[in-house]
Parts: sequence; C-alpha cells; structure tokens
Amino acid sequence: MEAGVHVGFYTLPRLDEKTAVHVVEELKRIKEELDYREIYLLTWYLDLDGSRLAIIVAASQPLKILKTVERRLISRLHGSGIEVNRILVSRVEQVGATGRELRGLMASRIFYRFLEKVVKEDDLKSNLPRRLRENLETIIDAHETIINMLPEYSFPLLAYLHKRKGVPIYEVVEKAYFFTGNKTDLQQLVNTLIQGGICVLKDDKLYLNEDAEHLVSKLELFIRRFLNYILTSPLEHVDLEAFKVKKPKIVVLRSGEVSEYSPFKVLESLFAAKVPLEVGLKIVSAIPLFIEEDVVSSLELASLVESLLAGIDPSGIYSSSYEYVLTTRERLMVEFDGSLYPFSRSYIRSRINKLVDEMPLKPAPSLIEASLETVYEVFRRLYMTAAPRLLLEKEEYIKLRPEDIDSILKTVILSSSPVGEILVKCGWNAEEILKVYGKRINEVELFLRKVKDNLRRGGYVDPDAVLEKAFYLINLVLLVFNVLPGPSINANASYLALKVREAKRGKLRILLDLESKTLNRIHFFARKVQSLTATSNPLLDPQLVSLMANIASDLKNTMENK
Amino acid sequence: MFVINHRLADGNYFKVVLDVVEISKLSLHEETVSSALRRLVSLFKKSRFLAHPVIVDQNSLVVLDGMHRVTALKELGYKYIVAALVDYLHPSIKVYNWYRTFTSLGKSGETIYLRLKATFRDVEYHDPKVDREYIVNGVKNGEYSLGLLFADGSSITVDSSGSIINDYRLVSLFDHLIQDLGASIGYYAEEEALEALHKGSVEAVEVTPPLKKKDIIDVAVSGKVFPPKTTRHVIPVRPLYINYPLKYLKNSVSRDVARKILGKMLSSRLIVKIKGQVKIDRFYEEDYLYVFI
Repeated sequence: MEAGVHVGFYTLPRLDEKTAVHVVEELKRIKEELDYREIYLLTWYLDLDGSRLAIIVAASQPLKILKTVERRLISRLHGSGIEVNRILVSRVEQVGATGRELRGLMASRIFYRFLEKVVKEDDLKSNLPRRLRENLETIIDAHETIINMLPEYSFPLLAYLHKRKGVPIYEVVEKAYFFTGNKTDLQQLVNTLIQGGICVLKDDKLYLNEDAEHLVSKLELFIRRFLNYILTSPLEHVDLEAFKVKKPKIVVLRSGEVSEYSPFKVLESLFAAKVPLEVGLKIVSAIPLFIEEDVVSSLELASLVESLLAGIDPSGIYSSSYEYVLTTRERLMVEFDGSLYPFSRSYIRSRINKLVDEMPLKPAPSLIEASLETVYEVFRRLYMTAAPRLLLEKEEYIKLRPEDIDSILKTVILSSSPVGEILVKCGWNAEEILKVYGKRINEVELFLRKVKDNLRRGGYVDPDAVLEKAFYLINLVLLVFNVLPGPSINANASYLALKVREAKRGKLRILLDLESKTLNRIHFFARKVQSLTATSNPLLDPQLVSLMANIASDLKNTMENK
Repeated sequence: MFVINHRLADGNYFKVVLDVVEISKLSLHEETVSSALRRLVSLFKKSRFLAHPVIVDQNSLVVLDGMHRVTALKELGYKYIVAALVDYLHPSIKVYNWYRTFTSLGKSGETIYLRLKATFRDVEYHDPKVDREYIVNGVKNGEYSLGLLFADGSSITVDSSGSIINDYRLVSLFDHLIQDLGASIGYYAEEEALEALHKGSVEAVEVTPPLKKKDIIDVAVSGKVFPPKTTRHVIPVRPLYINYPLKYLKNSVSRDVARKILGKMLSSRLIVKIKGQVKIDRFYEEDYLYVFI
C-alpha cells in the first residue's frame, strides 16, 4: 500500500464539553499505543460547534492506521454514550498551510505589504527617520526598473519566492489568499511577473530572477532595521502616528466569532508573557502600523506580535512565552464530578442557563451575554498571568472550580443589572422588587409632564435626562414581565418590544394587570427608544415624551390600584 | 471573501470565490420541494452555522446548487448567504439532467399509453419493435419532450413543445400522473437509469430532454423556474464545511464586514483537499472537495 495522507471525518451527535475531553483523551492514548508504527503524523481537529471530528494520518499505510484509530476510538467510547459516525474516509490530495507555516506566511505578508506601501508611497517614506529613508532610497535607486514594474501586492509573493527558492507554480496560485489577501487576482499577478521577467518559470517551478533576489535580500535587511528602530528606540522617539493607516477594530476567531480589538488585551497577554512593559507598549503601538484593514484575524494578530517579539528577542523566549499565554485558554479546565470540561463560553453559558432556571426573575438576554463575556474575561485574565509559572511547572491543565465560576457569575449578573442592588435587598422577591423600584414612578411622571409642557413652550430639555427616565420605564416594565433588566437601554428596549408581543398574546405571566391600550403604548415606546438609541446623536421627540408620560401615568395608576 | 484556485488536470485553474451575497439578488432555477424546505427551515432555526456554501454563477447570480438553502434562509428573514461563485460557462462545469425510474408500476406500456392519451394530444405509443436508442436520441435531439421506456420493450413519446421549460413542466406532470398510478419514482443519471431498466430492476425509465447552460440562465433570470430535480450540476471542486455563523447573514453587520469576517475566518482554517466522488450526506460527484477544518 502506498504511503500518503488520509483523513477521516466523523460526526459525534452528542458531543459536548465533557465528552470532547473524553474523546481527546482517548485519541491521545491511541496515538501513544500506535507510536511504534510508521506514522509521520497523527493529528485531529475536534469542532465542538459543528460536532465534528477530523483525524489526519500520514503514514506508510495511512488507511490501515486510520481505520485502526477509528475502530479503537469507537470501541473505547462504546458504552459512554458518545457515538462516532463516519462521514467519510478519503485520501488527502493536499493539506493547506498549518501551524507555524500559516503563522509565518501571515506575518511575512503583513510585513512585506507594509513595506510595499512605504516603498511606493512618498508620504510614508518621508516619515522615516533620515538614516532609514536614505537606506531605502538607495535600495529603490538600485532597483528602480524592477520596482516600477511590480504590480501591487507582489512584495509578499516575492518574499515567499525568495525564501523558498523555486516553488511549484500551482502551490503559489493555490495559496493566493496568503499573498494578496484576495485583493487581486494572483494568477494575473504571477503572469505579469513572468512576462516582466521578474519571475522565471522552469520545470513548472517559479523562481525570482537575480535582480529580484537581490532586491528582496536588501528589503529583508531593511525590515529588520526598521523593526529594530521601532522596537528598540526610546518610545518617545518613535513617531508611530505618522504611519498609522487604519486601526484594527474587529478581531475574527477561527470559528468566525468576533470581538472588538483592544490594545489592552494584547498588552495584557504580553505582560503575562513577562515581556517588559516598555517593549509591550512598543509592540502594541506598532500593530496599527502593519494592519491594513479594520478586520483582522486573531491568527494574523498573534503571528504579527510573535514575529515582532522574535525581532526584539532573537532567543525566542518572549515569543514562546507569548505563544503559551495565547493557548492558556485551551488549558483552562473545570473539574466537576471527577471529569474535566474545557473552560469556554459555551461552558459558562451552560452554567448561566442552570442559574437562570433557579432565578425567579429571568435575566434579559443582553444581561446574560454581558455577564458571560465578563466572567470569561475575568478567568482568562486571572490565569493568563499565571501561565509562565505554570509553563515552568509543566502543568498540562489549569483546573477551575465550578462553584467559583457560579459565584462570580451571580455577582456579575447582579452588578450588571440596574436593579441588582434592590434585588439583593429584597431577596429575589419579584413583587417586592417591583414595589421598591416602582417608588420612583410618581417623580418620573411629574418630570415627564413638566418636560412635555416645556417642549410645548419651546423651552430647553436635557435629552439625557429624558433618556434616563426612558431607561427607568423600560426596566420597570421588564420587571412587571418578570425579566431582570440588563445594562443597555437599546438591548432592553428591543427585548421589551418582544415581551410585549408575547404579553399581548397572553403567553406571559405578568405581575400587573396592564390594559391592552397600555401594552400598545409600551410596544410603540420600546420601538421608538430602540431606534432612537441606535443613533449616535439621539434627538428628543415630543411624541416620545408624551408617550412616556402616558405610560408612567398608566403604570402609576395600575400600581396604586393593585 | 476567500478565493480557491483549483488546478485542473489540464494544468489550468478553476476559480471559486467564496463570498457573502445578497439573497434578493439571486435567481433560482428550480422549484423547491415543500417537505425538504420545511425540514431545512426547522434545521436552520436550531443551527448557528451555515455548513456549506451554495453554488452560484458569478455572472448571472443564478443559483446552481442550494435552492432549498437559499429559500429557507430567505423565509427566515436572512438577508445574505455564503455562496461559492463560479464561472458557469467554464467548460469544466457540466450540466446533466435526471432520468426518472419507476418501480411498483405493475402496468404495461400500452396500458399507460391509453391512460395518458386521454389527457395529452401529442402522445405516441411505440411497440417493442422500436429501438430504445431511437427514443433516447429523439429526446436528445429535441424531437420529443420526453420518452417513457418500459421493461416490456415498448415506449411512449410526446412531441417537443419547442420550449425547454414547457418540456420539463410536462415531465413533471407525467411524474405526478405515473406516481398517481401507484408507482414509486427514483432519480438517476442517464447511464444508471438505462442500466437499471436493462437489468430489470426498474419497470420504466423516463428519458428527459438535455439541458443547456444558456437555457438554465435564461429561464432563471426571467424569473421562471424548472420543476424540482431538473438539473444535475457537476463542478470540478466543491468547498464544504465552511461553518459560517448565521448571525452575520441577518443584517447584524454590514455586507462588507461579513465578507471580511468570512475571509479572515477561512484563512485561519486548515484546508484539506480530498478526492471527490464520495458519499457524505449525499453523493458528491465533484472531482475534489475542499474541506475547511
């Protein structure tokens, strides 16, 4: 049988956090048992979201090994309730870039794309310090003809060809994304380079011509000098502002989930990796310099930081420590009932759902999401700083206790809700909470009537004060609907609109007997607030104030008559 | 967006662009089947991800594969979908038609003919002396709308209407009529269907007219649709398991951001290229599959 690579895809219908750990443990064990065979690679990817498992085997007899792994895995998991269903087993024709290669490709693209812009844009070039500018101008003068011929986005490709010294052309074209980020047609770019004589096609392999090789060697040196300049100069001497093109705003994870880019998070990771603060600050300040787009992948970001660290510290201690910090999250486990669960957002969600079941007031979805993120960050940050110590101790997992997570969750939910404090005082008694929180209704109604009159007379009204009352009314009605409000007026308004619809259909248990007329008003009000608060500069609307005054009056009367 | 440049056996490249496209700009070319649509709607209601992109012609935005997914997401209020955009006119994309097979029919060709004659004007009966190949070629060269070949050697044909969509509407009508007689229907590639008839594992085969890419685009762009199970597209390469979060397809972010997320997300994944012609949830006729892990 021919040596090669085979892949097996499987679905695990009942895969959850707990079973995932079990599956991985078994796979590790099987790998150890099979180590004596001629296996070059045995790796797996477990996708919790899609409940899928991929096993990749490179061996002298890959299919045989794969089937052995599959058979052993199914047999070991038999009786545990975990099903493993084969989707397909197939010979792999090609595996894309993985791990280090992928990170290397990304970092190289980022650096060379930046350099391309500096070379071609005079404005950027003029911002370089004199010594570096002169150095770059000498390179440009020596290779002017070739530089003028280079189409946009060709620098990263040139760097790759320089490093590899002859790459099959299909490999280059198939890796299009990693050179141009899909900004241009790579095939066309390659053809232009061949036609211009910058690249030479020999035996289906692509090479750089001698001139281009020289150019990239010089550029490589220039990048090192430039990085050295920005990473070792005293911070106040580096005019990074001048280079900033566009800051990254969104960070995309492998799963497609996104989070807001935060330089502080990067700094935190660097700090946790024991990178001196001054170096960390320089790295964080340098990131916007190299990131072109407003959306960046977490992998790109990590590759960039890792490469910058490697530039500062050739021994690699910073970069490997940073890499370890980045993978801390994967090492966080929750020990429960003798089993280990990966600490993830979905684990926290499962804990929240359990807590919510026991709560007489159900938290608004926005409150759940905000609490989930906070708790996740609390633990991530807490243990991230402990990572280098754990690295020394060679601990495989960092174990968390579920009761600690629950107790932080409860605190976070309560502190994030605008009625959290009252809730603690009233001991979760919904009617009591409503009574205490509702005490302000007279004052709010009076205020709104005054505002209404003031608006009629054309007087000044503070929009923030009105919005604060709107927030209060929304939260009060949410409490009437047995919902624990969250911290965002927009999210609460949106949820309220949904709940009113349910109440009108009689699908909701509510604490006050609200008339249909009032429910209609509330629905209209919630929608109005929702669209109003979605704009950056909300303008006060007399109709809204009048509506609020009527709702306040309805609520006051209903509460008094109860 | 994310580009796959797949090298074909002849050394040329076939480009697939994975992109976020507006559902309202897409044209369907086939009707959906209600039961399959309901199943998919309920699946999407529970799911957080779109597993596979639909296949769409980059020039006309006609959906080549994935009518049900497009319709289901549209029904659920989604504004966008992830599509694998391809150049439909590229010679490596093949379009075939489905032949129908019938079992549990229990009636001869002649009996069926007598039933059909009452409803259709241009229906003609051919006794077993007429070669099957003659009928098949007659449908292929546009003389007939369809041909029904029976295990007893007899056959039935209906003259062509001159319009491919009308021919297929007739095919659909015949399908229903024959099923109403108690037969079970199956859909097979031409060779498989004829082989089954030859072996006697089916009682009849319905020969359907061949399709041209231009006809499919024209019909779809004009807002008309072929009946279900009309076309069978074979594309050299198919991306699978992109697992794109559905939430970005519902107008929660701009299309521009949704496209960037797609590109960044897929470029962080491991791409495994495997040989196609395999059965997963169905049979994938493509030469290669690109699986995103």
